[in-house]
Amino acid sequence: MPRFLKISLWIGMAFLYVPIFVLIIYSFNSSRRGSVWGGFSTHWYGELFRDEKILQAAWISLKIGVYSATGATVLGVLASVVLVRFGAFKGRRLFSSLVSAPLVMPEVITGISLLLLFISAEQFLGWPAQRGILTITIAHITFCTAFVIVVVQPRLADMDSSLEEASRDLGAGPATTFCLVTLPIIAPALMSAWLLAFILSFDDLVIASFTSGPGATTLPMLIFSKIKIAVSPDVNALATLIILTVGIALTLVMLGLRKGRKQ
Amino acid sequence: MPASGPAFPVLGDTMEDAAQQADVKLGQPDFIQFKDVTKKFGDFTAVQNVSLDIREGEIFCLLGGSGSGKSTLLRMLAGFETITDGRIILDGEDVAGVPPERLPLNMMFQSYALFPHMSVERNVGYGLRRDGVPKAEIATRVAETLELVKLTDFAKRKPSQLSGGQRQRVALARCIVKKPKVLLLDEPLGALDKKLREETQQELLNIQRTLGLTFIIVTHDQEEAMTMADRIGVMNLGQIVQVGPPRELYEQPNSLFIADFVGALNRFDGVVTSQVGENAQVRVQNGMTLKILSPYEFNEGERVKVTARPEKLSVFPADSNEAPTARNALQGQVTFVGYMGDQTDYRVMLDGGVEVKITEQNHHMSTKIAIRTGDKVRVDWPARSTALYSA
Repeated sequence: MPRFLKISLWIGMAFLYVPIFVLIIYSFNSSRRGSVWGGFSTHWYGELFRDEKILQAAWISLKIGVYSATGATVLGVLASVVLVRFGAFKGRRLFSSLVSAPLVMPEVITGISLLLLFISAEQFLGWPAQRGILTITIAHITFCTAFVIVVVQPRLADMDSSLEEASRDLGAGPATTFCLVTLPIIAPALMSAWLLAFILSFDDLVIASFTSGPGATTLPMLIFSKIKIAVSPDVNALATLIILTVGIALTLVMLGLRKGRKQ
Repeated sequence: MPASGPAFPVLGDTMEDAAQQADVKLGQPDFIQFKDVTKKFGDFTAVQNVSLDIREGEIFCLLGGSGSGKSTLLRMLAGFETITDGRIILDGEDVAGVPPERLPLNMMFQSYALFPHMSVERNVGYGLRRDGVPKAEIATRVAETLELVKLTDFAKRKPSQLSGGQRQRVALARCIVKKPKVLLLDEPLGALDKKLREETQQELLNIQRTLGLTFIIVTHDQEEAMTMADRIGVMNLGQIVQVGPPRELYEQPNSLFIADFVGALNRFDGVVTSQVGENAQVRVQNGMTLKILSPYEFNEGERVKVTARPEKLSVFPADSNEAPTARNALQGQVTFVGYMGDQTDYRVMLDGGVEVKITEQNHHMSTKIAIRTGDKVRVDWPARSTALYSA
């Protein structure tokens, strides 16, 4: 039985990770044609850093990632505080399901609905005047907030609420208590939530495609448009770099969550 | 001659002592007033019509089981719960609507609630920084307080690097450094082991006396309440059942509930067969007759409950030559002997079919040392140390 389990584990892992390994290996392929091995080379990595378009797209994705992760973390923490600390207020259950709905909402639907929102907002309010970085950021904040809540809410619920009461008792108002006691204690979870939101925003293709406009092409959008023409080897190199970045971020998320749990 | 109204106990041998207990320190007698206080959570009533005055400088214990409402009462005073009905007055001011940070009292939490991300020093100084005390003064006062609780060497440590007893002292220091008028302690010794608990009790009492604080302690541990409190308020189902000095609660409980809750108890159901003056006779289970002294008058044939504390009973070998020390002398057989060093617990099945608990102090070697399980014994029992309650 243990042997059977071991074999199934390896098959499962292979199913998940072999494609990624193949991609990483082929990013060092000197051949122009993606399907033929022409020897080891770091040529395509050099090519990548000379490509203005790719660098620009990466910069845009990075900016959107930072903005939306920050926005989502602020909103997500506020929502978590409401859900955990404000007792059983009227409509709590509805609020709780509404804030977590984006977790399961098909991206296409989220994308279309936001696109419609931005178009009508432009028509009736004249704002946002053009779709671009701002609209993608707003769109990303909407779904990233749900993930932030998933990470922060349990940590806040775990926190001994008498810590906050002790702070009040010792003469701190509610706002001071939140800044000096609550925030530092949930900081590891906050960091994890921020990084998770950043990864989700950085990786997103579908919602960004719907809510983007001229001059705002994110990295995943650029990759997708490139492979529509032909699979070029520099995309493999780019994808490898993205995997590396996401891998590091995910490790930090895990470390942050573990530290939070230990306290 | 009916014994009307609530059950009245027969008084113990110690009425004078009860008066002597009342040497409470001088201070405003109505420093803290609970006036008809009620707290409801939805349909559930946690505290019901509690009225209570607490003197300045006294140690007052709220004693009760879990769910008795004692913690809720404390949390209302501290400003953490709203008051559904009634008023709480602290030093002449109504606490209703005052946020916890403005009340001139501090609370020591059961979990200690030390801030895990701050050093001991910063934990203790937290309250002073919030009040805008000048930095130099904060440093002096924190150092003084840490010395008082013997934690000077631990000032730079984080709470996670301290033992349970040390954490407890940090929590105490964090409260008293603010020089509050009142200190609320929620199960202050609950998380400590027995030996540490006795030491800490003494330390708490010393600090209370030195600083002249008013202590309100919430506890479920009657021993803790008895040793520390000037007065105890026993709570049950959201209501105060009896308030008084420990000795009064023990010797003159106002109800069977208090008698049973504070200390151990032997209980019998019986019927009064006769009463001449104070001398009453009660027939209990299986035809045994007990002689009881009661200042209260009962009807012949009235159903009563009889109680007696285990330490008021004595046990002798059945063939002992010692004369009975009391008016009740019943025969029985030992079913259990628990030797605890300073005292011995016995359980004896009386010939009447009722089992009684007896606690004997082992002050000298005596024939009693030979009493074993299964031995025939005589249980002596003063008529005065027995209480009668209307059933």
